[in-house]
Amino acid sequence: MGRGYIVEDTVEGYVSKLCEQQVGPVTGLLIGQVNSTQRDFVVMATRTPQKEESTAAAGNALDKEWVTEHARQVSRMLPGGLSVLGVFIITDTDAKDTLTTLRQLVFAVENLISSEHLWNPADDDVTDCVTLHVNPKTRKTVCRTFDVKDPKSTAKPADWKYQSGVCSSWSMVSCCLNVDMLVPLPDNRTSTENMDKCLKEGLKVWADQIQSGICLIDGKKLPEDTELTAGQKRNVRQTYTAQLLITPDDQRLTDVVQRCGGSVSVRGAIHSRAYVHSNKPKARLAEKLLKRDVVSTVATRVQMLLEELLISEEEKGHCAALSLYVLTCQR
Amino acid sequence: MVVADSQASDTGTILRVRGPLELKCRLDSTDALLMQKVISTTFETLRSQVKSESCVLTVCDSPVIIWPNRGVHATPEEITPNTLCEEILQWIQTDEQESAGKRSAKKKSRKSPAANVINLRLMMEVTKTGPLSAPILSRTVQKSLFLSTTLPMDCVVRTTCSDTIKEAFEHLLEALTHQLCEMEKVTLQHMKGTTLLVPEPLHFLLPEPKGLVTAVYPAGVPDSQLETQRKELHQQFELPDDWPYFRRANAYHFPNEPYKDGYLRNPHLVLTHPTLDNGKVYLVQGIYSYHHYMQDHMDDNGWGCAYRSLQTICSWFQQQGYTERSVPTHKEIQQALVDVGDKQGSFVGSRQWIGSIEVQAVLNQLLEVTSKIMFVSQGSELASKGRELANHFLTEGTPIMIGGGVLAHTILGVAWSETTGQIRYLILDPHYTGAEDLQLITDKGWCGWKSPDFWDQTAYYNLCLPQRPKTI
Repeated sequence: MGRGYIVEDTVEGYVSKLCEQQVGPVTGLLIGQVNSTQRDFVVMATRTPQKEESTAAAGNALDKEWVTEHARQVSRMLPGGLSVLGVFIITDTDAKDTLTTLRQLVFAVENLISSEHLWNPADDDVTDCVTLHVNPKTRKTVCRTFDVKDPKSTAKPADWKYQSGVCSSWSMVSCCLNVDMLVPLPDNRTSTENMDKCLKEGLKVWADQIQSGICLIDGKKLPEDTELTAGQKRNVRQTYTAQLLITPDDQRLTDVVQRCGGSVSVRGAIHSRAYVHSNKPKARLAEKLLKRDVVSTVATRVQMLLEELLISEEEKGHCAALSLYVLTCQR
Repeated sequence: MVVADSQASDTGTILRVRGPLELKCRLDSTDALLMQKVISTTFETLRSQVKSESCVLTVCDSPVIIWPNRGVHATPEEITPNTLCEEILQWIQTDEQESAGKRSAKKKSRKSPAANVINLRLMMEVTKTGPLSAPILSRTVQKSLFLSTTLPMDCVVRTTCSDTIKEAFEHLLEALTHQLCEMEKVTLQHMKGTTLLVPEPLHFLLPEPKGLVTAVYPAGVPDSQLETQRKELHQQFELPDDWPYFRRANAYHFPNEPYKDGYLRNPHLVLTHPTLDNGKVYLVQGIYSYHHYMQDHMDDNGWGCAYRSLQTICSWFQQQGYTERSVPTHKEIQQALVDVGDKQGSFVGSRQWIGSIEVQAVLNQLLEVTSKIMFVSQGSELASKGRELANHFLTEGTPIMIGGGVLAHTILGVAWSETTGQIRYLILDPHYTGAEDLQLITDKGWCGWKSPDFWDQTAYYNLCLPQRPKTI
């Protein structure tokens, strides 16, 4: 049996609107939540933005990089619990050719997004990604999945079903989390690019600690298979507060003291939240989604801070060049 | 020592908390004083972390989590600060419980004499409530040194049955803070230039009433170079200075940590002492492992008993910390005898018997341990050796090898009445060929108390009484 997708019916409206516009093939992302069982939830579709300079002449030629970059940025902005599940295309091209295009797109998108993940994949992670082909004339909709961890995988038929109020009563798990990280910079190079590398390594170690940490939900350690919303009213949005307990890895370095060219620290707090579907979610899923949101929120924040630093340094470098210019002129 | 006291700690529950703490700082100067100052500050930060509300102790294999600095708050709700420590035990899921259905009836009869240990993990809560500030990235560019290591925290607290969680966890917290101070001291003491050694805590079980104490040593420094520290510890705990208590080999082995080498330790501990009129029990002191036929993939059935008895003796010297040498194999024993000129080269690899005199020679050659030989021309005479044997166990406390005209055995103790002269011998029999099954070994008397008629009344016997070196 293939995977099944329960799709928020606003997606149907969105797709049919795109079909009516009829301006050549349109691609976009399918966003939702993966459930470890056979059924996933799609809550939103969003088209790839049109390139400003691109003319209609670009026509059928798909800009793969543009699509993947869009996916990367969207993926960064998504609230916890939601992720890019796959891609759609609206085109009247022959189904066979379209499948090849979709296959390429879905692999490229997934590769780029997962390359930014600082967490290790879990055993129960679903590696199937969804593709949807809609023919704007016939409105025929074909849903297929690809196992993106298997480069040789072929399309598998999947079930695509619209439903109303798919995400109207999703629960939310949230926490505020303190980060306190100190990372050495290499002895010889302290440029910002190196800092990026060092911070990434530091973040990876920290992310591992978060992943193996203990998660409490509303003050309790729930067994993995406990139903999160058990004993509560169905179809009512629940909110939970999470706590994370961590311990450093017991690493024995031979060099306790190393030379360094300085250090960089990240200190402060972030707020993290993850939404969890309402179809008997397990505590394990809530924990996994929240931890991933914690990690990606911090990673994104650090990335933003670094970019800021990079820009201000460029400006400073500009100033330095200017003052040098002034000095030379005065001579 | 009249009765082995390693059992005296049976009452009450031991709380043991372990967990790494990250020690990280930038050392901007190589000036020793400035470095020390930065390191001290970093230790101070860790101490305040341990005392903060973020500090969490989780009970291993259970859902129990305790915040010692938040009014000893705990989850699940059933646990309150006034809960008795022992009650935590019922929350712990053990392997035994999982397989209990099948063989519980059989196993219950012999309850492990070991004390209960509750293992806890030191963790930090990273989630917070209340006012929070957004992350700030700050960079310092300066050629300097970066110190980064993890401190292997390991604290124990012994509780009595009336101790509540609140009391016990207050003690634990004191122990953690104290250990950080000790670690700081050891780190600074052993700092040479820019080389730092990781401090390492070890637990030692001292004779009652001192019980379990913890010492912090710099990792990688051999015991021999720590004699000054060990001497101080002996003085501090008023211990005799002719018996090692604080070598690494003396470190306490927790009852819930199985020995990885597979040999049984001190099987005699499960036996009940014989009752003699006005009799006292004199036993081997410390820990030995039981070596017998057919172990180590070595078929020595019929000739290796004295070798095995010797191995048991060597294991005693190793585990008391007198030697770092591992227990010698049959071949190594034979080679040692060739080396001292006692045997021809062809002896190595042979299946020839050895006796008490050879055991004495090998102990001398491999461990530099001297031994007294006691000669008994008739087995019946052994019944009159009570005073000498009792004295041996009091002053030396080593296992005795007995051989001679017949089979070799190990004597682990005597029960002897000074008034009636009655005597029983605690025997460890190296001729056992089965698996390491404590129940079988003690039920069938492979380790057990024997009356004087155990000895061949007409055969001659040589006893090798190893003399322990008088050192710390």
